[in-house]
Amino acid sequence: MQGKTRRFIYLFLIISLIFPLTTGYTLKPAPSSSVNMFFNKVDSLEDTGYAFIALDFGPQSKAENLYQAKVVIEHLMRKRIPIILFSMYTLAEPILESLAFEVANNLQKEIDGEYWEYGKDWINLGFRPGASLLLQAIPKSKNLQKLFSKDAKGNDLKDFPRFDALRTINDIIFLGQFTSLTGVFDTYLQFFKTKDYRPVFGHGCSSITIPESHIYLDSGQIDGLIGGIAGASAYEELLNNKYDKRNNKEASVLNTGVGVAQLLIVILIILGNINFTKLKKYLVK
Amino acid sequence: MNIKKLLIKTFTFIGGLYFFLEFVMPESVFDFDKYHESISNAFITMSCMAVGLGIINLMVLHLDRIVYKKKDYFFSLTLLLSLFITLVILSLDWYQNEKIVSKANKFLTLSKFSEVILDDEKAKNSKVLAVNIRNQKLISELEKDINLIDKNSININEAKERELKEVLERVEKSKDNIKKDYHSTKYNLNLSKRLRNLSIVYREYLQYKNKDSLIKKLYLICFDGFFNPLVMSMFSLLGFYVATAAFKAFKIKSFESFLMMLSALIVILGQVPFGVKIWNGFPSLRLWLLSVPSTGAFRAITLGAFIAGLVMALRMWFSLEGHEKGGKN
Amino acid sequence: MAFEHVNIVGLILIFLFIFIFFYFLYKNKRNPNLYIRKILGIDAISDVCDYAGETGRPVSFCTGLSSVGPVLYASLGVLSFVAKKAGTFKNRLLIPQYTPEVMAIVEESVQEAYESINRGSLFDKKDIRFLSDEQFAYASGYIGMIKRERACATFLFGTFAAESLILAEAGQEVGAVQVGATISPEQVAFFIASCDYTLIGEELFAASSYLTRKPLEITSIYTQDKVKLFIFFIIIIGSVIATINQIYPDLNLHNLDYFLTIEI
Repeated sequence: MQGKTRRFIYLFLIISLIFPLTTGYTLKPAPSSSVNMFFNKVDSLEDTGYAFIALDFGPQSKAENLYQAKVVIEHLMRKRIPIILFSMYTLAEPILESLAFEVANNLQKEIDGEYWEYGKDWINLGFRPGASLLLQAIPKSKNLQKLFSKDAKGNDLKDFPRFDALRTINDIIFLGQFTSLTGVFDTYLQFFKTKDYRPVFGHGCSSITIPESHIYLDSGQIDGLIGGIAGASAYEELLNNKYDKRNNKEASVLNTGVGVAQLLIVILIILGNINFTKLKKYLVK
Repeated sequence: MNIKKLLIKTFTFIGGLYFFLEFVMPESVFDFDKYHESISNAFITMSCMAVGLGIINLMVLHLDRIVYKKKDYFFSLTLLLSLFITLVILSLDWYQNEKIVSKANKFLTLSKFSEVILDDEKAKNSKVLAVNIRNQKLISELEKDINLIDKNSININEAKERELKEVLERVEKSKDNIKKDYHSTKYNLNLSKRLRNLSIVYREYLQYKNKDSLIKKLYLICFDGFFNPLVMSMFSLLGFYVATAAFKAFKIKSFESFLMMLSALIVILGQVPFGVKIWNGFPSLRLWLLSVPSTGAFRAITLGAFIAGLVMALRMWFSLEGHEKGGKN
Repeated sequence: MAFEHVNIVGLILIFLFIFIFFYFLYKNKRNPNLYIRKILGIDAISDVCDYAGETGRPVSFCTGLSSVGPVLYASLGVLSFVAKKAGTFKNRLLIPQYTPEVMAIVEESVQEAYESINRGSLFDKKDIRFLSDEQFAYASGYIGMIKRERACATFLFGTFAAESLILAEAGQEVGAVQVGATISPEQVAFFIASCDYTLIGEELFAASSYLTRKPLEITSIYTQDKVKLFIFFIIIIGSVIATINQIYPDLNLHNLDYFLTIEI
């Protein structure tokens, strides 16, 4: 392709992405049934166990997975379900350290008089090497406190009374897994369950892997799916509708930009085909 | 037969058999868990050693270019320099973190010691030293470690530092209670809990102070300044490449490509905010496309690929492949 | 006795598949001339290698993010073929690597390929280079390598993730002829958009058999096809049973997933 044409395409793409970011213009996201399922499942959870949130993503897919994880963690925090953060990916460590604190701070600003504390509302187990071998060990373990033993900072899990009841996988009522890596999601699907018990499983994926993840939603192996930034935006909209004081639209701003860019791609496809048709006619002549 | 090849085939078969049995055998027949952790750790260790292989390869290739000043040797120099500088910074950061953890863990050790004194006293354990001697030792070690904390540098205007000061005061109170009567274990449990809390708070305080150190700043420059933006930029290149691919490659040349375009259009319009404004049926149509044709196709491709993978795995397990090391086919 | 992760029916099926594999291996050793349908993408591998021979420019073979496993071994079969062709025409063969363990295996495989056509002296270990074990660092290293060396043909065989389009576009920009193959359906879409020839899903595993026509490799294809046929019939039967259960619930037929819950 000609260099000049390529540069114009890139320029239009940049403009379409920057426009909503700079003007703050947002559009209501498209409704998504898979996101509705995810939201309803989380909403129906009671404080009878723990939520195990696996953030298996790094800086490359932060733009999608981070916002997905943020809205789900916020939902769980609002319901006061204790959260265990974990990752099988080394580059997720900084995200594990900062994300829950950020969400807690936002909630504290929104709701006067309520507090969320590390050690009471969430703990961070950090990055754990061993991938599928560790995931196989979790359902077999009779004492998960002993299996994990310390959090990311080296504190003994016994020092957190709220997490004292964590013994087996049956104490985990919800698994939220966010990733864009290949092979990781399959591992959780295969191993994070026993013969008689599977926690409610919600998955957050990048836009590229939506069709692949959808087959597991269709077969009932996962209970909800948040696809890309559009899914995060739809979830955010559901939270805004449920909680009146909430007015955060971070994901929707990005989603609007992505929407404009996708519209540009549609226009490019149409232009490309018009060009192609004209060329064919010219050659036939 | 080549001995090396025979050994490789034997170990490959045994390894495959072990993992197959470990996967399917119930615990009641054979408890693999006892050995599995050690075996898993061995695999993790081997993967770490493999990183060394990669670094050696990099160095051989790029040092050769630098030494003989071949074409583009400057880029090789940049690569190796970045590698070593990053290694040095990460090693220093790790060492600093280890120092912080060991400083904080001193109080954890004393906390455990305090608990052990109490437990031995309850169990009337005669094989240990007298309570008063042990308590004296505990208090003297505690005083030594507390004196290492620079109390003058604690700024009570900062929340973390204020918390440390409060915890230190509580530990001092418990310490003074024990000092009143070394023979009593009445305050040992209390001291143990407060020391454990001190260990956590002191570690957080040291990590908070460490934020401003040179090593931490260099580490953040490496990671947040270079690595993160580079990775995110490379990933974002995808967006631009998709746009050029869309213009160049998505041509309607046949009925099949027309169907492909139509489904791409429906999925895009079902996902973007604008789509609903054009027609509110797009999201449902998108869902149908994802749930029915796409799911069927993905399942078929995945099934075929994994069956082929299973057969290939059988070939690897029984060493029927010619690619193992040790000799010609 | 309750097995872990699988029940008795699943185990029986696994042993049945193993039996089918060895049965066809024994049968096909006596008759190696077995039919495999034409696959354009695999035919193109040979043509692309011949084209590279004419231009004299380097050829690149990328195994992507493959770790040691079935996908890598399937790609090694094609790599051996491409290495022999490159050796015959004296083209440089560049093989960027993501995982050090894979690099060791690839080195042996390529060296064997060169030695089998008596061109062992052409083997250069430096052309098998470790770039990075970080996905996008690998992609950027690959882009740089392809543009500097101006490869005329690139083969993308293995496991790919988001960087697949970046790798394929890099080859496009230097005008290389590209053949892509991966088992991941979403990455196949990117290869179709930017490569000249694409192998979808299990065609990657069939490629080696198609090119070499060895009895072992052909047996793999036969076994795969028979197993798939078996699964196809199971799916049909399962769908029929499930449909009957919907229409006539009183009949109370067991759905096929009942068999996956039986324990001895």
